[in-house]
Order: sequence, then structure tokens, then C-alpha cells
Amino acid sequence: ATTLRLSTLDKPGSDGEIAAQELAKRVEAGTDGRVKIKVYPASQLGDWVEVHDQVVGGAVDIAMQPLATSSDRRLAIGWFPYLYTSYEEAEKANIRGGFVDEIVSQVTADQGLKLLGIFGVGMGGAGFAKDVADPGNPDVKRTLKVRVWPGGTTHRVMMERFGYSVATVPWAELFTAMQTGVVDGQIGGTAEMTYDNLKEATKTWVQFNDHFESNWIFMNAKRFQSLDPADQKVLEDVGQQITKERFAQLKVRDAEQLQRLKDFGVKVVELDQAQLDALSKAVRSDVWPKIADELGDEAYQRVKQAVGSGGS
Amino acid sequence: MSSLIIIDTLVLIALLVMGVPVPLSFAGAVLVLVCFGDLGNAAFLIGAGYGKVSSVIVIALPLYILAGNLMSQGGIANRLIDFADSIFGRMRGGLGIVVVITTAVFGAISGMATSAVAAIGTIMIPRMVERGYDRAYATTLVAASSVLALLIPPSASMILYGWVTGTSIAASFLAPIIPGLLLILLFIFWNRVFASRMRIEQTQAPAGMTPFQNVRAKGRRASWALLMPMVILGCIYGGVTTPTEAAAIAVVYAIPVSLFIYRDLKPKGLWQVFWYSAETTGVLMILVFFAAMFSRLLTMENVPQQILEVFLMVSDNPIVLLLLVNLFLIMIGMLMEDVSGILLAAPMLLPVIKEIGMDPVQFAAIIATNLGMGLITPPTAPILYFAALVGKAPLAPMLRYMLVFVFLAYLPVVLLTTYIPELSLFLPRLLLGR
Amino acid sequence: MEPSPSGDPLSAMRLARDRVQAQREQRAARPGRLIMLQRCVMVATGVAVTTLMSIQIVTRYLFGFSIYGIEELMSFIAVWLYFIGSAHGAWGRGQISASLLDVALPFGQMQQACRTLACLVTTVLCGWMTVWSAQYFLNSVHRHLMSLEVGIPMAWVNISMPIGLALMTFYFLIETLEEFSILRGRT
Ligand code: NA
Ligand code: NA
Repeated sequence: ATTLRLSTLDKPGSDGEIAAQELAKRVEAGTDGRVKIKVYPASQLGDWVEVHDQVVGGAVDIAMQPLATSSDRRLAIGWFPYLYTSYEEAEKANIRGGFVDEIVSQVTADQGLKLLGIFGVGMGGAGFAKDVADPGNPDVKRTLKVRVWPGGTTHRVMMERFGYSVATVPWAELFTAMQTGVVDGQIGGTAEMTYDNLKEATKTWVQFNDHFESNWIFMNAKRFQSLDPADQKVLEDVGQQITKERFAQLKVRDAEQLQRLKDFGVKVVELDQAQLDALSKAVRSDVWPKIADELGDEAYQRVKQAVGSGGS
Repeated sequence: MSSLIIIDTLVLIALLVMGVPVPLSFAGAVLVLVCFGDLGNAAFLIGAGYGKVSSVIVIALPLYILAGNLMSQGGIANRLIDFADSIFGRMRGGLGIVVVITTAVFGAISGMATSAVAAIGTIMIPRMVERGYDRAYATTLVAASSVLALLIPPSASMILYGWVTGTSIAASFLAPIIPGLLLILLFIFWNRVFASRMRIEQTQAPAGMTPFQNVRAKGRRASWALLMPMVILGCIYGGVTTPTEAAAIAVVYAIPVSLFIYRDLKPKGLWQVFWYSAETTGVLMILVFFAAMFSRLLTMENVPQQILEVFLMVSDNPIVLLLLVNLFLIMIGMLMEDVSGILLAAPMLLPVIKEIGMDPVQFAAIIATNLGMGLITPPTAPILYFAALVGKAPLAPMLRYMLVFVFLAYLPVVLLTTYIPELSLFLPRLLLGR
Repeated sequence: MEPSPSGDPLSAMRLARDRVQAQREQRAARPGRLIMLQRCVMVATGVAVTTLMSIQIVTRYLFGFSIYGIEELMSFIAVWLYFIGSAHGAWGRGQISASLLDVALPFGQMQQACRTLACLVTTVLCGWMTVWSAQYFLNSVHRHLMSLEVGIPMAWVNISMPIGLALMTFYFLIETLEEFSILRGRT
């Protein structure tokens, strides 16, 4: 039997980790035990940039996580802001044959990776240690300072457009930084991530739907090809099953995560469609041209074409 | 536990005992695992090391080391000692108390126990001997209390603990403070016991000054040094900056204080302080680099999980598990100094800590007090040996005093810290609302 | 070279040890160009990290913005500081070690043989790690890895590792030869 190492950033018990274990279980069953998968949760094998490199190099076999733009900037498509206005659009773009899937499949293939599927984490938002006045309005000058993850150029430009100031605080210091007021908020994650890591420091959660958070399921291509063709098919099929099943429950799961935050006492702000449209419009017209470089010309044109035809 | 891991542990111990530098002993242990494991091309492990050393968070380390060295070169030790002496000097066993208090305050400026020994030991050991203290005792007292440098923030060990375990450094800084204060009280107590058996002269206030005037005059001379911990802690816990940024503020504060106010540091000396601090940092970070590679491999081989299983086989009672954790740390402390110990033990023991349901912030305090104690317990007792070198004291008579400090000060504090979470969590809750 | 005063190997070793010791002290007092270059890098990177962090604090807390990528840049400079600093530490024989044999054994052939062996093992291990880090560096060249924020090639940062480790290997090698010469009782 072959044992493959699978890395995920998600903590044990989270939806992502449960899905990874499920993938391992189904692959082992589907291959009659010929392929076993050992899941390493909670970034045990390194942060996402490092794990991406390790999958390319073959030290880790499979990862369920974002793809690092250090190897190819087109991968910034993974958190490109306001790319979708609904769950349906997000699903259509990301499943097999969607425009995001096509771009990412090509980039990963160039790097010697095999894309097995995608695990939708949820729609993004921002958590704040304070109250946020009129968060649905993109044209207010604000005094709040928001943390963007290192490398998050897209969201830096976006939050600046929304009137916030932006800082990059390391992840491990984020909780304390929010509590002591070094920063007032954070963007780039989901309600689930905020509940699991930052709930005590969070007073307000704004469901911006700014980006679609997703973990790609990708494997070292050589390792993939070294498997028996029948087993390869099992891996691919299970990857797609996990993808589809997750999309089917995504909306409900997101709502449940918001409820968890509410139950904990966090003020949850859900924007109405008019507000979301206003934010989306501001980002697409003012922010996209500034961050087009992040994607590269070809991919950016592809995005504009897809979104245009999608009738936004 | 697989035989490969056991062999690898033995290889690591053999390399350490032989005298191969700790970072390369880790490299040796990595090579053994790679050669007999199933990893293919292992150059990726360099990425594990790089990932740990290239973080913005650990930039706090070179900056605090630099700030501490700037202040020590700038002559703060003398001023702090004179100030403490003006307050405690006339008490029974006063100079001993001065050592304890000064190292504690010095520890709030420097993050390294060695700098405390060098700065305070060189001045205080001869002075204590002159007044009638036993040389071996004076030297052991300096060694035992210099460890306070890693319990009182800023602390290199706590920065690295926070970084390798993903715990907030601001919180990890606060956790060992109360255990540190307990140690100070115990040191002062034992100092009184020992001093009462020696024939010691008392200090007199300088002629023409009342004791109070003396305290005020000495306090004013030391005020810039005393202000520095306030600035650092104020920045971190007043919500002004992250711990890393506070480190830069400490450097910016220390340069003019030592160059223009205390004037013990000459502009030429600045060059030397900078490269010397970079060397100290480099030596620590190469350790972090190889320890990270080794610990990544141990994770891939599932060792932390196996350690948990072995512990659970012994007992599932949290009290017993915590005792095992401490025994494990004591063994590590016998083999290596605090930084290597933290880098190796913290990731290994984290599953056990989680199983018990302990806050990693409390574990920070446990690991700091336990591995701090390891710095003065032979066979590997770098601070004890360094103090012996500085104090020109023979080791054998020092061991008697060392045993008292270890068994009747450190060990009780380690156990209290382990079983009373409030000792380590009170301050983080108070200041950070955790 | 001077013959040993008696045929006694121990006194020959002592003599050799004193000579090596004197050489080391002389080197420390008059460091060569390579060391001065390393010190320049160490001081420059130390100053740069402090300055950048101060700029970061001033812009962030006084003017309310951060210069994008400044943290990444700092961490890259810091990596250079660490590896060159560590090389300098190997030159000054200041690497952290926990030798027990040194304490347990009296000065003599047994102890000196252990020391020499430890130095040799250290050199080999460090050389091996230099090769790995060079492979890692070459990988970042081939894959054109760019940094996430500043967008500079990662190769510029990664090359600090093989350079630092190669220097360390070099200094460990010198130390090995010195210890071996003490073992043989010659210089
Ligand atoms: Na300290
Ligand atoms: Na020890």
C-alpha cells in the first residue's frame, strides 16, 4: 500500500479537516486499501507558502489549502475581490470547466501539480474589535485600521477604497493586536475562521462577501501518475465528489457560522443586495484596474470576459 | 515508538555529548532520519528552517538583543546596582538582595541570562567577596538569579516559544512574571539564611547624606535605565505597538541614552555592539533553523502523537500527565540550554498540553521556569558554568548552594506554576482580557 | 617545528594547544578582510532592520498608514543578518554546544581525540547542509519564485543560506585541523 501525506491548515474538528479525513477514508475504501492518506492538520507541515513548495517538490503529496502566488501571480484569482455576487456564480466558476478552474488547472499543471478539486470554505468578511458605521457604504472616510494578510495586495487596495487604513500584522499577533487596539479589525477570512480564532477579540462581523475563500485540493503530479490508473481515477472522483458535496451545503454552513458568531455575542452585520451591489460596483470599477497586475494581463482579460458574459 | 526514532534520539544525544554544536547535532539527527526514512529529496527541509527564521515576528529577537547590549555597554549595570544598594544595602544580607533585585531589573531590559551574568556578576561577585560573602555562594546566587532574565519580559526564550507554538508573544511575555516574582522572594529568603552564617560587613550611606537622600540621588542616576522597561511594556500592553515594534523602540531609546546621557558607550563602541549583537542573534537563529527542520521531520514521523500515547499509557490523570511533562522537561534541561530545549520540547509536548486542556500561555510559564532551572542544573548548566568563569569560583562548593536553589526555590515554583493556572494566567487576563 | 622538550606526548600536546590558542587570540585581535566584510554586512543589516522598523512605527502610528511590503523586506534583510551572524559565530567559536566529554575527561589524548572527532563530524554535517541549502537556492532560481509582497526574486534571499553555511563549514574545517594538530602534538 502507498501512504500519501495530506496537509491542511485547518484545525482538527473544522469543516476543512473533516473533509480531508473524509477524502482519506473514501480513497482508502475506493482503492481497497492500496492508497492510504495520512492527514496532517493545523499547518503541522508548514504554512501555506511552504506547503505549496513542498507539494511541488514532492515532500508532501496532497494539500488542501490556498495556492501561493509566489510561484505564479495568476493564482491571486483565489481571493480576487468581488469576483462573484452569489454562491451560484462562485460554484459555476470553480467546478470542473468553470473559468477559475480552467485558469488554476493550467497554472498548477505548469508547476507539476494535479488539481483534484476545490473545497469551498465560504464567503469572506471582516471582523472588527469596534462598531463599524455604515459598512455597506463604500464612500465613507473611516478611522478604523484593518489587518490584511501578508501578500494580500488585492484586499489592501480594496479596503483603502472602502475608506479604511490597512496594516499587516503577523497572524500569531493578530488576536492581541485586536485586543490592545494595534489594529481594529481583520479581513481575508471567513466567519468560521473568526469564530475559531478571534471571537473574544471581535465585536462586529461584517459579511462583506468580498471574496470566496477556497482551499484547492492539489497533488504532486508525478506522484499522481505513479499510481495505478484505476487508483488515479478514484482520487479524481473523490476530489470531485468532495467539491460538489461542499458546494451543495455551502450556503447553509455559512449561515450556521454566522449564527455561531451571533450566539457568542458578536454583532453580525449582513448587507442587503443593494449594499453588496454598491460595494461590488465600486471594487470592479475602481479597484480591479489597480490590481489587474496581480493577475497578469491574460488572466485578467479572461476574468473580465467571464464576468461580463455572466451579466453582473 | 518506532525503533528509528529511538536510534535517532540516541544519535542526537551522542552528538550533543561529544561536543558537536547543538544546531549541527540537530542537523545530524535530521540526516539520520532522512537517510533511513522515506522522504526522497530532503532539501525541502531547508524550507522548514527558512520558514521559521524568515518571520517578521522573530525580528523582535535581534532587536531586543541589540537594545539589551546597548544598555549594558552604556553602563546601566553600575547604576542599577548603586540604586538597589542604596535601598537594600544596609539590610542583613543586603548585597545578596541587591544581586537578586538588580538581575531582575536588568532582566527587564535584556532578554538573555548570559548578559545578566556578565554585566552584574563582574561587578557584584568581587564586591560581595570583599564584604565577607563566600565566593562560591556569591557566584551561585548570580547564576540562579540571572535566569530571571528569561522569566521577566522581554525574553528571547518567550519570543521563540510564542513563535514555534503560534501563541501570542505579548501573552507569553506576561505568563512567567508572577512565577519570576515568587523566585525573587525565595532567593531573598535563602539569601538571608545563608548570609546569617557568614561574617558580613554592612554598607554605610555616604557621609553627609541621609539614607533617603542617597536613594533619591541613586534613583535619579538610574532613572533612564528604569524607564526603559516601562517604555517597552507600555508600548506592548498599552495597545500602542506589537512586541516586535516595541523592540525597535527599545533600540531607538537605548542609543541616545547610552551615547549621550550615560556616555559610557562611545560612538566607536556602537559598531562593536551592532556586530556583536548580530553574532549573538545569528548563533540563536541557526539553532532555530536546524531545530525547525528536525521538529518538522518528527512531526512527519508522528512523534508528538506517539509521545502523547506513551504518556496516556502511563496515566490519563491530568495531575500525573503534568508531572510527566515536567519530568520530560527536566531531562531536556539536563541535556541542553533553554532555547534549544524550547525549540525541541514545545512542539513535542503541545499535543499533551491540548489533551489536558491547558492554555498554551500557561505552558509558556511552565516551560520557562523548568528550562530556566535547567540552565543551572548539571550536567549541561551553561549559566552556572559561565558564572563560575566570571566569578573565578571552583564548581564543587557551588553545587551545594545550587542544590538549595534548585530544590527549594526553582522546583517548588515549577510545581506551583504547573498546578495553579492563575499564577501564569492572571496577568494575561488582566492586561489582555484573554 | 620545535621538538617536544621530553618524549612525553602530553606535554607535546600542551605545547601545541598553547600555540593554537595564541594563534586564535591573534586572529581575534586582528580579524582578516573576510571577517571585516562579514561585520560590515552584520552592522548594515542590523541598522537597516532597526531603521525600517522605526519607519514602520512612525508611518503606522503617527500617520496612520504602512508602507506596503516593508515587513517582508525587513524579514529578508534579517535572514542575511542571521546567516552571516552565524558564520561569524563559527569563526569566533561561539556556537552553542553542550559538550559533556570535555567536562568529564581530563585533558589528554582521549579528550583531544573526541574533540577532533566532534569538529570533524560538525564540518561534515555543516558541509552536507550547505549542499542542501544550495539545492534549495537553485530550486528557487529554476522556478522563478518571487516574494509575495515586494516581488523580488526569492533567490536573492535564499542565497544567504548557502553562503552562511559554506562560511561556517570553512571555519569548522579550520578548527578541525587545529584540533587535529593538537592531537598530534605538532603545529
Ligand atoms: Na528579560
Ligand atoms: Na541543565
